Amino acid sequence: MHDVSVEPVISLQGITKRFGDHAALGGVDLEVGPGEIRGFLGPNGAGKTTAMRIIVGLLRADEGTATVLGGDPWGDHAVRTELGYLPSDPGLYGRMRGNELLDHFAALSGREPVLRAAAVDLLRFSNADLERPVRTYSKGMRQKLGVLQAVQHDPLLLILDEPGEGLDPLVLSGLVELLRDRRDAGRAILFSSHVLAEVSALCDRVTMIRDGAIVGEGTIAELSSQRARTVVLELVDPTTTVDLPGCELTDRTGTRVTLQHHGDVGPLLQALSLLDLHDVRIEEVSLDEVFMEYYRDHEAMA
Amino acid sequence: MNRALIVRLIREQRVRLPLEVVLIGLWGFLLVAVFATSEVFTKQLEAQADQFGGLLDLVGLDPLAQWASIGFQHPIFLLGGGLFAVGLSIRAIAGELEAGSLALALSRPLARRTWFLSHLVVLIVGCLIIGEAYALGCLLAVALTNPMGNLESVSMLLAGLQSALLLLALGGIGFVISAFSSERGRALSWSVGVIVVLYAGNFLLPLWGPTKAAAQLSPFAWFNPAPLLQRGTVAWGDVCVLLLYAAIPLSVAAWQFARRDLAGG
Repeated sequence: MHDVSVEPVISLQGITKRFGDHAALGGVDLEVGPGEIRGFLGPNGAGKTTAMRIIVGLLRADEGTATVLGGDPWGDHAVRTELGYLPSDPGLYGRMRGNELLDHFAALSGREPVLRAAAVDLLRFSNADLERPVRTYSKGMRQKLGVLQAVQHDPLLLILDEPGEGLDPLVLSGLVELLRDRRDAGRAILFSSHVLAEVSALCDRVTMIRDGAIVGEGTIAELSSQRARTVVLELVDPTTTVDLPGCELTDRTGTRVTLQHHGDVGPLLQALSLLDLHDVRIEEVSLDEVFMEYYRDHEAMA
Repeated sequence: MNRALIVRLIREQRVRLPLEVVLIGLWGFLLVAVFATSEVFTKQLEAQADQFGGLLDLVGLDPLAQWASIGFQHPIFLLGGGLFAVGLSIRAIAGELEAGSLALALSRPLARRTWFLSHLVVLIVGCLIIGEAYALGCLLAVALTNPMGNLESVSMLLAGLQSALLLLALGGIGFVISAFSSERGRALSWSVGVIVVLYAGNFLLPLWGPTKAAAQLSPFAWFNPAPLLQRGTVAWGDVCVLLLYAAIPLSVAAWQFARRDLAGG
């Protein structure tokens, strides 16, 4: 029996993975603790799925150490008793009915599907749907069933690769609620998504990966604070000289001045108080901008 | 082995396997029924009986037994049994990997060894059922049509077991190719290709002196139920080689499956 109270739930240290000449992961470090929802972001082919498959034990790392729920996911299949996994394109047995498929995966887990009823409600599944063969399901319904098989036995760790894919906004809100409930119950969740609004709404911390390397990690606030925020000024006098700490002029049209600001906002606010302004707007950095900037920077460096 | 997994595999076979069993059984039945009702065979047998009296019994040659033996080696039987054996083994790894269902199943506390053994159990049982279906089909026809000649039930059932070994060997070839592959179509093509080459080699290689010995590499060269059906003697050497022919690829497949990355699907 594994000590499921160990922290962190996921610990990757210096994980590398090559497929032939292609380095999918190059020294990835990642830690996820209990009661945490971690967003795993990156463009296609960045290495998210490879990292997730190493965590689940489907791939063996070439180098480095992977510890999941206190055990080695490759060598010790028993650690997966407390794991729920949704791959990016889950293969569901089409001839089975929805309920049969869920029963089958619960039996393979060796666990009672204690969360199934609640999850079925949140994901807006009906009993009639679950009585139908899976091959008759739409893409969204198959995705919901994929989420259900991962969460139904209330595992300590959920690995979800693009869980929101193909779900309508109503179901998506149910999924968010479900995952928040699990987080509040102390479960660890690692999930990847291209829908950054979903990540912003859900994640405690975000890890960004590109070309098999972690390029950023922290809370969304931390990541945002490291990026430039846009400051828009409406001057009373268009000839006023604007020289603000940490700011870089990007556009000046008449009385409107647009700047990019890096760093602490304290000195900026002090300097702004000395200017004669009609209006000032400091735009919050969205996760989309953080995401795009990280990858732009990285591309430029490359 | 895993009970839930075996139950699913059996359920997946609930239409295909019974259908194959019925067809193979029907093949055995028809073969003997045709033999019993054919004037040509009957007349030949009567003539031989007149000519040689008890000589046929003495040397152990029985046309009915020979006829039933040919049915075991006929492409219809091999195709029916091979479809099951190779189909199951290809789906077990490459098929489920490509479909994405293997990743879901192995994200459970299920050892790869358990996955493999569960499929192997179903494969063995299926091969036995198919082999014995032919034997029982023949025996049923013997009971109903009373043909000339002698077909011992025990020998026939033992030959069914021997044919199951051959089918298991074919399944082993499918398994080992499946374990190295991530695509169902490619694994199936390779398996069918290899088996066809081995089948053809068994007939063609002995035709030329220098390649005659190479025919022994084919598992088909080690499956000849005629001596068993005619004289009731088990060719243990052949049985052992067939066992090896099944065990070696299955062991390689198990080893490869346990160590390989599951990156497809």
